[in-house]
Amino acid sequence: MKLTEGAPLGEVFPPAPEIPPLAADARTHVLERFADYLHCIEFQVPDPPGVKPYQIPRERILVEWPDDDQTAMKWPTLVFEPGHFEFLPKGLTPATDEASRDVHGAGTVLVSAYEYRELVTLAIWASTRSQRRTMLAGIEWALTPTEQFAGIRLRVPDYYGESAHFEAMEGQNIDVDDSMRRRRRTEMVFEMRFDIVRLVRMDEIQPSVEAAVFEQGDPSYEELVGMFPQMFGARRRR
Amino acid sequence: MRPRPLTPRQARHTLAHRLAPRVDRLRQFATRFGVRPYRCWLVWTQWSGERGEGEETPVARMEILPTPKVVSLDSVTFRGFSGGMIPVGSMRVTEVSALFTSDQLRGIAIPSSEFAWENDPPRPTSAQCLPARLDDKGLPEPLDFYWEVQEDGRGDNPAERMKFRLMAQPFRRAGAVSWEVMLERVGPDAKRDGTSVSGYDE
Repeated sequence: MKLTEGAPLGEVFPPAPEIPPLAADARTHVLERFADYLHCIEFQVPDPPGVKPYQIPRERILVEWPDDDQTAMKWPTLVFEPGHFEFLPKGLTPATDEASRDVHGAGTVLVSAYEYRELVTLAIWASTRSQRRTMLAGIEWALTPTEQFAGIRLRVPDYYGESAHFEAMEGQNIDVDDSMRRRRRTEMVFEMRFDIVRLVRMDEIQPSVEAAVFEQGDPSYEELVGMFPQMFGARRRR
Repeated sequence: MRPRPLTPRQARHTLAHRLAPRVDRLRQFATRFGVRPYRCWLVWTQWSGERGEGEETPVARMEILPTPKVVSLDSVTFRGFSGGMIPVGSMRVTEVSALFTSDQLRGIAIPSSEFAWENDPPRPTSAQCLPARLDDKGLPEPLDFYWEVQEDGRGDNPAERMKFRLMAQPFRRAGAVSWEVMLERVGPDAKRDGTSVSGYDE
């Protein structure tokens, strides 16, 4: 296998310090941040009284299925279940985020070539009807906290401070036999979008142009033009 | 002998039914020998809103005595879901005293608060003496009813409380002078000290 020739992205001279790799993929970082946000929601049941304002414990908002078979499901629990994702190219060449220059280390900049898009499903596990209704009310409210636009945008500090956009698309209350056993489930499908970025080293280039000016009668003009006969676009002018 | 059905009074005085108190006393030997490790309760609770809404408070908790035979708890499996493992499945409880009635085992014969107060802790016949239910309206709102099974403390003390619901109609096995019930695992369980989590696990 042979790679296409070209300068590797971020290669600079003289060599700069290594850039530490990310601990997790972008999706995980973004969903963890969304989970932090959902954890902040305080659910309340004003009528009937009795249930105190409730926050879903952070450890019960999962971005993936648990690894082990020891985690007992508690009520309520939120789980992000994966959907099909796609990478949308942003153009023929990677785009540099000039605002990120030197922000994440001297001599570095963020480069993005794709936008990530996934329809991710938020599974809401609740025990009773009341609990599920409460969870839905809180999450629906939290999805559009501002008047400016639909959905929410979150900064993801663990992912270079990139912003991710979440927008609810559809959902379904799933009532089956298990509902009567106090195991209810609702699915909410979100469109999740963010830029896939990569921290690369960069060096500043300072291009300069030197122009030689000749009079038409100057014999050295012909001599100079003759030095670039094969260059694309270079034509003799008279 | 001419075939004919028994009147309720005659049915109560049949040999099989009259043997029930004696059989219960004999079954107590099994409890004393330690071969009935799982205690079973009928539990009534009340919600502050509709059933499942608000705060769940206990109304009554009556033990099934003599301790019945649980067969078998290992049919309740731990099934994986995206949020973790949930105990799922059913089990059979046999050798339930024949002195109970179907309404009592289904929870629709509801103890009054005075009755619950007088029978806490339960007496050998406390659950069997629940008042009869004369209508078929089922369990009124906002009451809730379930079965609870807990190990007797020979291991973990207190042991976890497991919540079940009736999965099928209780079956009076007259020849065995007992009832048999099928129970299905539900959740969420009460805490080990008996307090309800009102649907919200801690």
